[in-house]
Parts: sequence; structure tokens; C-alpha cells
Amino acid sequence: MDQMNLKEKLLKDFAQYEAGLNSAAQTDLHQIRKTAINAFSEMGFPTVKQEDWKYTNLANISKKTFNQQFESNLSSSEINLSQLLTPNLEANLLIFENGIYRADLSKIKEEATGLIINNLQTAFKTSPELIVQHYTKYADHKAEAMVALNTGLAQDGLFVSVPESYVMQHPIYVLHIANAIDNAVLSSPRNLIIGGANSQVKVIQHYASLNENGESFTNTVTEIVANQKAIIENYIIQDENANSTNITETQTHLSKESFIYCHNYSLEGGLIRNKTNMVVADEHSEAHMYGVYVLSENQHADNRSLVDHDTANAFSQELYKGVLGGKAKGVFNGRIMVRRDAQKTNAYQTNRNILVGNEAQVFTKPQLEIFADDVRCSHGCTIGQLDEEAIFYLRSRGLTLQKAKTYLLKAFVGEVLLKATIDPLKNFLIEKIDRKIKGMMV
Amino acid sequence: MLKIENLKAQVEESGLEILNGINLEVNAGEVHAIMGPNGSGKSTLASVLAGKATYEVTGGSVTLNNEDLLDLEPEERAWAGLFLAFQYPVEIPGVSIANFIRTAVNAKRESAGLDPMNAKDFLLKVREKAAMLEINPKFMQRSVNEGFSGGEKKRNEILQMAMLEPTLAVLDETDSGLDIDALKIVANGVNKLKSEDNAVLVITHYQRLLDYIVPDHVHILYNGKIVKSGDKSLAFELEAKGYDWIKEAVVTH
Repeated sequence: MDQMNLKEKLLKDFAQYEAGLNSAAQTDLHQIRKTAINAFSEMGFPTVKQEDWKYTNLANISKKTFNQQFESNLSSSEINLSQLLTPNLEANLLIFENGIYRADLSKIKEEATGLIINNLQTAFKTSPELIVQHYTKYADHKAEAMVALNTGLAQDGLFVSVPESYVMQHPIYVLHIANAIDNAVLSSPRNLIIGGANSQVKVIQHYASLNENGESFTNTVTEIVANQKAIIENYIIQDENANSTNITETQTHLSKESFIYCHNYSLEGGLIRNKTNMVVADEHSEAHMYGVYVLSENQHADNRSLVDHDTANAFSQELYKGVLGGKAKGVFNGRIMVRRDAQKTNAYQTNRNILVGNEAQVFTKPQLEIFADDVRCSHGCTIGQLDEEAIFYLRSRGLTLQKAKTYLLKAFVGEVLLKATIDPLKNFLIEKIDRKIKGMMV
Repeated sequence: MLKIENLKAQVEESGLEILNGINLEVNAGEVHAIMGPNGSGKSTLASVLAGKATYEVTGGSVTLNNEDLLDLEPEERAWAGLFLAFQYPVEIPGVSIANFIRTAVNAKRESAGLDPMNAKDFLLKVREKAAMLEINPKFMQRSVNEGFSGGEKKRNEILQMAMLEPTLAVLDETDSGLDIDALKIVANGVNKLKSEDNAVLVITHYQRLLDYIVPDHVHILYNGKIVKSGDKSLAFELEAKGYDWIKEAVVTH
């Protein structure tokens, strides 16, 4: 067992799981899983030899043993939810423990004709048409190893379908609790969010660890479909312990005149990797991406994005900011593709980083591929330190050196946080980030 | 109140000597003006007083109310009652003026062992001071100095001064970039803040600001030294004769 690497172990687990399925092995859903796991089997875990993974090394992870959980471990009284949840946030709440849906802890309060908010397993049974139409249709489980692994192993996640013209009153708040005590845990959350024409919905994915040291590996895929004029906001909050690995891929599809906002806040964790792909498939749609990473010690965050402008008259905007101290490592790769027919595209991208530790590192790379001739695109990547003039200005007003630095860093990331539209969440993020920055300045 | 004796300073990086033995004494209740041609060391003097790290003091002493100023960090100088109105105030995107000033006021209060000022008291006070400087309350929600006109920047500086109530205010080229109306408003604000207990050091290239902030003493700085001192008539003389008159006087000395 010790000699087996993670890939072999997971393939074996899959084979065992399949053997127990009997007739269920013939379902379309299982066939998709099988295709995906076979693709993963061929590709294996990504290595630093691949351009996309140049700066993010999964070698350690792929040698470790992680176990998938099929049953929840904790009684509801053992989980102190109030310690984990965003305070004062009224929301439709779904709780997952190690990837397993906890109906007993969840509370979906909003009801409307045609509105479906469920865990994915339930949706497989109750919304087969939508599953057939959308599930696994956007994220590429044949060519991307981590998507393939997720698709092969995923058992549950969030399923949302908002009916035409329905505006959600409350956000959907999904709390993923990593609860690894005795052994390292792998979970593969899988989310599908469908916004009907003219509908509006906000989804929060919040990843947290239940304990300080437990090792967890969470590999999430989220597919988001915005139908005409739909407005969808998706927030990913990563706030796990130093022994965690959190990998997400968000694949969005924008129809005519739709808006999708993808927010990514990396607060705490060990190794973080986020990939956001936005396919701007029809005119007058807008793709927005906002991200903040505040990294200390040996933390690692790799944010990559692709905006694929496949149609004329659309807009995309991307703003990512990072503060890095200790020996932390940040990676940003923003790719904008403007295809031949995507005339009158407006695409903007900015990534700014401030290093506050001598050993911290950032690798940032904009990639613009423009094949149309009448477009407006801009990008800017900066890596710097705090402005000495600004520090002196603040000190001359009576702020200590530490306070002046903290104040400037808060203002720096504050520009991104302003984009968050859910006030209790924004306040929660600001408070967490403020506290972390303060700690980094001591 | 402020006592500068034989102050010498150079640029930290290049070692270029800029202040060459300055002597100056400012008493409570007084307004002093320091005038001089470009490159004479006026702004360097302001920066050295405030503790800017790009300058290295190589000799002399500065005391504020008998406290050795040169020994203090920039923030400790602010706590001791010094305020520098910057010639080029720094832009801080993402921070409102209201938040910035409140943070500064409370930092100073904290240094004196006082509780933070409550939101209501702060608001009342800042509104009152803003009105004095003809500042629209909406201005307070803008990001500090971001995209400000010259006049807005200087008014913001004087608003901070009004809120922090320093014992010694150093105004570094506060008239630069101001039209005559803005100049009057800013000068009027400074005059209202004047009392028997505080003092103002006005650093300026031109005499025109001194039409509105009338100095008790005028000093002419040249090549890092005060070469001539007098009353306000010296400013008029300088305006009439130009700086060449001083340069020649120094050379023939």
C-alpha cells in the first residue's frame, strides 16, 4: 500500500467502486465517469514539465495517500457551524463534510416555481433532463487531468437551476468542511449552476478546515451556464489549514447579454490553484473576474484564467491583487483570446502584487492572443513593494511604521473587495484579510 | 518652541550636502517664512524636520518644545506636535479622506493614551473644519488625493492640519498650484488655526502667499544657509529685487 502512488490508488478505488455498482454501471452517468477516469489514467497528475503547471508542483501530493469518504464522520453537535460560517449572512445554506452532503445541517429556505437548489446526487434523480443537457458539457474532462479526476470521482456537490426571470432573494451559500483527523482526505465537489433567461443568482463556495492540521485535498469543478440576460455571481473563498490542497476549476458559459462575475479569495491554505475559464459565446455579454490572494509562510496560490471571446461586442474585465510575505509563492496567468469574429471586444486585465517578504515570489504572465482587428484590450501586471513615499506620508500623520504598512495593504486589496456585492460576505472577507495582513506586518 | 542649531543634512544616497548649517528659532504665537530660490534647500529643511529617511542629518540639533526632534521617528514627531503640509501629497487609492483623517486623529490620541474619538464627535468636528475651508462634505468620501486638483490637495492638507491641531505646522510650498481664490481659502484657514500656543513655518518661493499669511519674521535661504533675516518687508524687497540680489550679496560678502 505504501508503495502505491496516489494515481494508482485512486484508479484502484474507482475499480472497486465500479465493481459494487452492478447494473448501475451501465448508466450514462457512470459511463461519463469511466471516460473521465480513463482520461486521467492516461494523463496522470500534472507535472511541472507542463506549461500550465510550471510553477505549481503536485509531486508531493501525488505520492501521498488520500482517502475518499463515503460517510460523514461527525454528529451535528460536533460541528460548531457558527465558528465557520460568515456571520449575519442570510442565505440558502448547503453544508458538505469531506464532500458528503449534510442534509441535516443544510437549510434551503427559498422556494419558487421552477427553482431547484439541491445537492447533485438528488438532482441526478430528480432533474435528469437538465443533467443530461448540461452536466460535464463545459469543463473538459478529456484533456484536463484535474477535471478528469474530478469527473471520475465526483459524487456530490451543488446543483442550482434558476427559472426564467427569477431573481434570487438570498445567496446560495455552500460550506465545504474538510474534516481530516485520522487520515488524509480527498474530496471532489462538483457543482452545476444554471441561470435561466433574465434570472439572477449569487453562489458562495466557502472552503474551510475543521481542524488545524488535518491533511485534505479538495479538487472542485464548477460549471456555470448563464442563459440570455442572466446575471450570475460565483464566489470562491479558500480558508483552509496549512496542510490543505485546494484546486478549483470554474468553467462558465455566457449567452447573449448575460453577465457572470467570478470572485476568488484565497485567504488561507497550503497549496491553492484556481482556474477560471470564461467562454464569451454571445454578444453583449460580460465576463468579470476578481481575485485577492494574501499569502504568508509557505503558502502557494496559482490563479489562472482564460477569457475566450468567441463573439463580437462583448466585454471582459479581470482584476487580481496579491500580497505576499514569508516564503509564499504566487502565480498569475491571465490569458485572453479574441477570436477572428470577436470584433468590438473590450477586454481588460490587471494583476498587481506587493511583496512584503524578502523571500516571497510572484510569477505573473499576461497572455493576449488577438485575431480580430477592431478591439480594445489592455493588460497590466506589476510586482512591487509598498511605496516609501506613501509610508512616510502616513507616518508623518502619526501612524506607526507597522500601522502605515497595514493601512496601505488594506487599501491595496480593498479595491478588489469593493466588487463583492454581498455585504456580510464582504465584511467577513475584509475582517479576515485585515487580521492576516496585520499578522504579516509584525 | 522650535530651535534649530547649525543643522546640516545631505542626501542619504548621493551624499550631496544640502543643508549647510541652519540656525532658526521660532516662538509660540509666531509665523515665520522661509524664502529662497529653487535648490536652496527649502523643501529639504521641511523633509528633515518631518524625519524623511532619504536625508541624513550630519550635524547640528533640532528641538521642539525642548524635545530632541532628530531622535524621533516620523510618527513620534507628529505625536510631539509637528505637522508637515506636503508640497506633493501622496495619492492613496481606496482610502477615503474621512477614514484617513480619522485614522490619523486616533493614532495621535492613542499615543497620548486617549480613547479613539467616537464617530459622532469626529463627524461634527471634521464638518466644522471642512466648512471653514469651504470643502463640500462629499469631498470627504473621495480617495485621498486621487485625481485631485492642486487646490484640492492643499485644502486636504490644511484640513488634516485643522483636525490634528499641531503646535508647529510646516507648510511646504503650500501656494504652489493654487489659483488666487484657492490661495485665499487656504491662507484664511491657516490664519484661523493660529493661536498664541502654536506656530507656523511657511516655506515658499513667492511672496504672494505672505499677502494672506502675514509673517512676523522672514528668512532667506540660499545654498543651505539662512543668509538674511528680517520682518515682512524683506519679502517685499525680495519680490521687487528678485533672488539675484541675494545671490550677488552672498557672493560679494
